[in-house]
Amino acid sequence: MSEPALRNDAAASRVMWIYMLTGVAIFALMALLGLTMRMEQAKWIPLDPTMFYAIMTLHGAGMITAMALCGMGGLWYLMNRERALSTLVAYWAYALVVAGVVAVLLSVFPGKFGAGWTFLYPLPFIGAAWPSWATGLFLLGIALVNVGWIVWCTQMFGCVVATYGGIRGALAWDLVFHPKRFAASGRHAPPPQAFAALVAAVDGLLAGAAGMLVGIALIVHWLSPSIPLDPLWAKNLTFFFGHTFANLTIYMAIALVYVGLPRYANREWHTSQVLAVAWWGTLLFVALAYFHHLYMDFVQPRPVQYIGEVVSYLAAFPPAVVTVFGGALLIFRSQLRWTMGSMFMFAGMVGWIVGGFGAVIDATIDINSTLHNTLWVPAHFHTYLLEGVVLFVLGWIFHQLEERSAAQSSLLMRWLVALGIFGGGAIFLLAFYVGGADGVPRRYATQPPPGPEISAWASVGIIILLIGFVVCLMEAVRLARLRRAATP
Amino acid sequence: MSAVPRRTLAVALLAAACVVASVVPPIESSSVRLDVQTHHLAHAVIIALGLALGLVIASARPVREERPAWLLVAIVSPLMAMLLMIPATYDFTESHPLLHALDHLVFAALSLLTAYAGEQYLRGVGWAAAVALEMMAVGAAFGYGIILTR
Repeated sequence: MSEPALRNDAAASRVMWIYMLTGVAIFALMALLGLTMRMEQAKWIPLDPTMFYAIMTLHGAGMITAMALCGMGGLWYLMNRERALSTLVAYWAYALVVAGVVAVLLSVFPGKFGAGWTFLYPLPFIGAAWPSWATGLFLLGIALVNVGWIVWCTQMFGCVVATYGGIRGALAWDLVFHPKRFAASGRHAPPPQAFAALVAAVDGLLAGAAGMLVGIALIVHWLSPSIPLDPLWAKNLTFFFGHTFANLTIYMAIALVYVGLPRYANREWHTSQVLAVAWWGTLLFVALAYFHHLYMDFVQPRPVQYIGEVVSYLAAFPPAVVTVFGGALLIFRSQLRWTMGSMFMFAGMVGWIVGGFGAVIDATIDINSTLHNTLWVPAHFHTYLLEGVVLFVLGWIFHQLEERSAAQSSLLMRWLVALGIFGGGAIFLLAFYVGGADGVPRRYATQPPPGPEISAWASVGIIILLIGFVVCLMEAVRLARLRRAATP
Repeated sequence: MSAVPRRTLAVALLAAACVVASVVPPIESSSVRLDVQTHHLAHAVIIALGLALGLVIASARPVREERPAWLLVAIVSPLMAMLLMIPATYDFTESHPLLHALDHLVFAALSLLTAYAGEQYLRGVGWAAAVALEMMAVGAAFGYGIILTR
């Protein structure tokens, strides 16, 4: 590597670590808040309901932002290897997101804003148990996170469009429709991670624009309550923003697997026509899937409800059939090196499938009418966030540490971490699914039976899971120190 | 006709359209009171013209390397445009035609800046910024300051 390239790589690596470590730190804090909520529902600890809903709001907004930060940092690093990106822009995006996180934190502690991360109009303004400034600060915080997200998406969009010859090149259009001509031209298709960047950028910008519109409208309404907002309009925009932002976290994180897993398998994860078309589908489905959040809204136009159901089903195909199946084929008979990194990446794909399956069940209108307000909903998204996105991120972190230290974790350590994170995680998640199937309502500080018993099991699961994370963290620090020791 | 005069012609026509769309309706029909939705949509038309103008101007010099300062302009301009679209101000501006026209010209200028700055940051980004701003402007007409769902 030339000296400027080395400098660029070091600067890019710094950007990645800053994003990822911030994301992991926020994740850890939010996990503790999650434990607090489950312990309160289990009646192990007393918690004022106002505080419970404030914590629930922070937990939701904070977790999604934490995962987004990890994905943003990782994908930015990968795309910087395709085309040198401005670190300044990356730091602007980071600063805006972190400023937003601080504002949201202050709106909850001490503000006690508790309308939920979905901040559905008119909930933040009517009968609020928190001061008005907390509402304003929360909305401002979310808006700042969104502006940071838009800055990042814009940079990614510019990157893929400039690197691969416009949108057509970034979509690998010619590879799909004119493969012979494409091969003869000597051009290379974008690598798999570039599709993740394109989808995150395009859907992210659309969602960011929707979020900005509803954000400005809500802030203006907060300043001048006489300005009315259409509740259905606000809900559509809020979920278009929120669902897409949350959903994209896993599509950003999978890019890390596209690059990391092949190194363990000594095989290449190349761009095929099928992979390109699958990502076209994802581009469309991620943007339209949010409609499944509005099944309960009888005033929502009916055709949109069917679109929501069909698209939610279709959204499962590209990850399941192409990415996860492709990952399984990549590993099959490859004599995969099992390390902490590859273990997390593989398990993350399993978590994605399980969580996705739970999501597809819930996206079925008939079933949704029963499950919508139950713990089934947090069950599915906790599965693909905790046992999907988080594992992809941890897999990448360990991949980086293992490569730099030229060392790996012992079998005993891998078992300890696996038992903690997958075992504890399974207990924790199963409690959500069982509770949901049994009709235990979500977003309730005080649950009807069998909620408290199930919450107790969930709390045990989280505690085991957190022990697993602490062991994992200690192992990461050990590997990081090995690298330092090896560096003169 | 060569590429340069065609662009110049497009710039002149779009600039004229921006000015006419911004200035003429508020002054010529100052007695007409638009409902909030129509007013939003009228702004969306002015914004579309401003965006097109910005894209045409920027097309003269495609930028192939990131210029971060322009990104700030491309992000802040649409924010300012949307902040200006406060429905509560519509009654006041409609009764002050000159101010109303000026308000429209600011919309056009901010839209132009959004698209132009995006393209000056990196080729292709201006289009994305333009789509995002137009989407917000049109989207506002269906629920911002107005209740359509009964």
